[in-house]
This record gives sequence, C-alpha cells and structure tokens, in this order.
Amino acid sequence: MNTAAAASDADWSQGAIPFERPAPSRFFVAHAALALGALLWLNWTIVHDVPLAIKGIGSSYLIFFYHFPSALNMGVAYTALMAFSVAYLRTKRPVWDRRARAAAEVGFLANAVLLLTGSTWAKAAWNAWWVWNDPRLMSAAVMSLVYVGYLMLESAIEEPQRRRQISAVYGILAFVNLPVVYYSIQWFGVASHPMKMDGMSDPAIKSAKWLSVLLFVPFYLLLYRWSYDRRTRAEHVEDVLQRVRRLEEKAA
Amino acid sequence: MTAPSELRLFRTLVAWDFLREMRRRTTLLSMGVMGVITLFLFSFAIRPEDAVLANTRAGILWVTFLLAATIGIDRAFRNDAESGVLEGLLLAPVGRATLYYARVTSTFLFVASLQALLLVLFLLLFNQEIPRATLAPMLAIVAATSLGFVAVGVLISAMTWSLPAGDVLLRILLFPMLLPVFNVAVEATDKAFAGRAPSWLHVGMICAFDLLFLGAGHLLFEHLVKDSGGRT
Repeated sequence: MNTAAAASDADWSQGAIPFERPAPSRFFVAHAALALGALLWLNWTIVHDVPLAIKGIGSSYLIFFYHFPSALNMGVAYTALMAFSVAYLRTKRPVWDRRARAAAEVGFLANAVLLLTGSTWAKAAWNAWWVWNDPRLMSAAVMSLVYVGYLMLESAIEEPQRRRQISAVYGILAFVNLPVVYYSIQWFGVASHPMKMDGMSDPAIKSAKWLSVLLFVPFYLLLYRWSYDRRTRAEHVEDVLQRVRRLEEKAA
Repeated sequence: MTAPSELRLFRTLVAWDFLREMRRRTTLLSMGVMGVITLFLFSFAIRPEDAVLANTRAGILWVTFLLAATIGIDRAFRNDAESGVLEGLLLAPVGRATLYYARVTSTFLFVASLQALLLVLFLLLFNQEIPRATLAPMLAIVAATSLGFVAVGVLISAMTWSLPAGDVLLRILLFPMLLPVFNVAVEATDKAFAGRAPSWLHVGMICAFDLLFLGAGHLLFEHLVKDSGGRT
C-alpha cells in the first residue's frame, strides 16, 4: 500500500476523508463474473478429460473439483479473517477491520458452495440431501452458522469503533471452529464422509484437482477485492455523512 | 494503605455477585422456570417411554441445561449495565482479567446450582437413574462442560448486552459456538446413563474447550471493555 493510502487509513477514525478514490464496483463484478464463467468452463474441460470415471459413484465425482477448492478457499479466508482481527486489535487501524469483513464474506460464500456441492454429492452417493451423522458435513454447517453470526454482529453495531472492536474479538473466537471441521472425522468417529475416493491417487486426477484450486483462487481473490472496496465506499459515505451532520449541528 | 491483591478482589467480586443474585433470586428463578418448562415441552414433544428415552435422555437433559443457562449468561452484564453498576466496576482499579474470571465464576455457580436442581427433577419426572459407578464422572462432565458454556457465554454477553435485540443475538452467536462441545457432552452423558465411563477423548476435548476459551477470555476480554467510554 502506498504512503498516501496508509495515511488515509490511519486518519480515518479522526474523520478525514481518504483521497484514494475506490475503484467502481461494476469493474470488479464484471471481472468476477467473467472469471467465474472462465473457470467453470475450464474446470469442466479439465475434469471431463480425466481419463477415468471413478468406480461406483459414476460421474458425481466431478463435484469434487468444485467442492475441494471451496474447502481450501474457505479455510484460507477464515484464517485470514482471524489474522486480520488480531492485526486490528494490535494496531487499531480500520483497514484491518475492512479486510476482516471482506474475508468473512468470501469465506462464507466458499462455505456455502462447500455445503451445496457436498449436499449435491450426498444425494448422488447416499441418496439423501443431508446426513445428520456425518461429522464433517455437520461441523462445516455449524461453522457457516458461526460466521453468519459474525456478519450479523457486524451489521448490528452502529458505532464504528465499537463494531470493529467486537467483531475482531468474535472473529478470533470463531476461528476455533476451523480445526474442529478439519479433525471432525478423527474426533467424532463416524467416517461416512469420504476422505478419498477410489482412483483419486491417479496422477491425472491429482493434477486436475490442484488445477481446479488454481482456477478458483483468482475468483475468490476478486470477490475479496470487490467486497473490500464495497466496504471502503460504505465507510467513506458514512464518514462524509457524519461530517455533514456535525456541520449542521454547528450551524444550528 | 496497600491496594488489595487481584486474588482478593476476585474473591470479593465473586462473593458479592453470587450473594446479590441469591438474595434477589430473579435470575435463578427465571432459569429454573425456563428449565422446568423445557422439560415439560419435551414430555409433550416425544413420548416419554423407556425405549424412546434410552436414546434421547442425554439430549433432553443438555437442551434443558443449555436453554436455562443461557438466561443466566445473558444477564451476566445486562442487569449491572441497566442499574449503572457496571460503569462503577469498570472505573474501579480491578484487572480486566480478574473481572472476567470473577464473572465466569459467579455465573458458573448459578448455572451449576440450577443444573443440580434440574438434574434431580429430570430423574424424578422421567423416571431415570444414573448408575452409582458413573455418577461422579457424569457430574464432572456436566460441571466441566458448563464451565466451557459460561466461559464463552460471558464473552459473548459482554459483546451483545448493549445492542438492540442483544438477547436474541447472544443466542445466535453462542449456540453454534457451543455445538461441538455440546455434542461431546451429550455423548459422554449418554454413556454415563448406560453405566459406561466417558472416554478420555471426550474428557480431553471438554477440558481443551474450557482451557481454550478461558485463555481467550483472559486475552480478549479487555478489548471488549476498553475504548468504550465506560461501556462494555
């Protein structure tokens, strides 16, 4: 970040208007939409060329190439949210709060995609959209509820400084769930969730798996940037509004 | 005159909070009534027959505990804030960690007293019994899990008391956070009802949950009560 932008962030809480004009949101939405289209098409091409259909479950294995990148991106986003929250509590710079909020939105989206793809696969493999005794499915669903709480908490507090402070503490507490999801199968015993499918050790599938991850990362990064800019603009407007109110009060 | 030690302040705060609530009894009474209502709701929602209860008794007990305890957790700061006591407490020269541990301890004492009553009531109303061999481990599991509930709950209560519809938000934030340890507690309690001791994995997970959130409270509670002009 350049010096001017850093200064604008530092001055924000004192009421200064940053001079860095945020990029228009349509730019990022268009790019994200394009990126999503491209990656879905690419992902489909890559995984369809994988020279085998995994035994026993037919073509439903294709979902895995959307499911796994979402899980990975969700983990990264929630870890980043925790790190940004710690950074906010240490520095009190509002920029970390905006980054944390953007990471929460991206993480939640990836979490939703993870649940949706997992549930679709469950219907194909287990003939049920939802299975209550699968610890990983359950813990991932619980984690999405924890982060819905984060987003609700953020919108429930009006005073900016207090909102940042409380959300940062909650962002750190919420992170406890990530290891629970990761180790859920070892800890909670019932192993109905596939740890790996037959044929997944095939080099072609392995490289397709990591290529899917590479395709999804820019998409989630774009979404992160879009969400961050949206937040920056909202705070900008809030800031201007507060200053106008103060001027009105003075004039009255 | 020397300043009192943090340990002495802690003891004073716990005794003051506990005795005050015991005299006023409103929180304890609300928690108790909520617990009884939940037990009655379960008696209508499921057929309380032996075959059904064998699979559901631990769950019924923990849902009752959770719903009743949440009332006490919600009031951990709300009562004091409404009466202006909290502002005085925050101005007093008490360490924030001491304040947190004192509030956790006093809330835990209400919750544990209430759970003892609700457990007896549950055993009587649903005609259940706990084998003598597993009674002590089960009580230890209940106490350790409740300590975890309260450790997280007090932190979230400090976040939500001043918000519009803060009591609803408290439940939305608290319940998902508690679900992993709730799951373990139900399993361990179920085993205890069946006369089997809880596994070390369960005990370890509950203790780890408690330590993790007590440690988090120690580090993070001050961020919830400072820079807020005397408001938590």
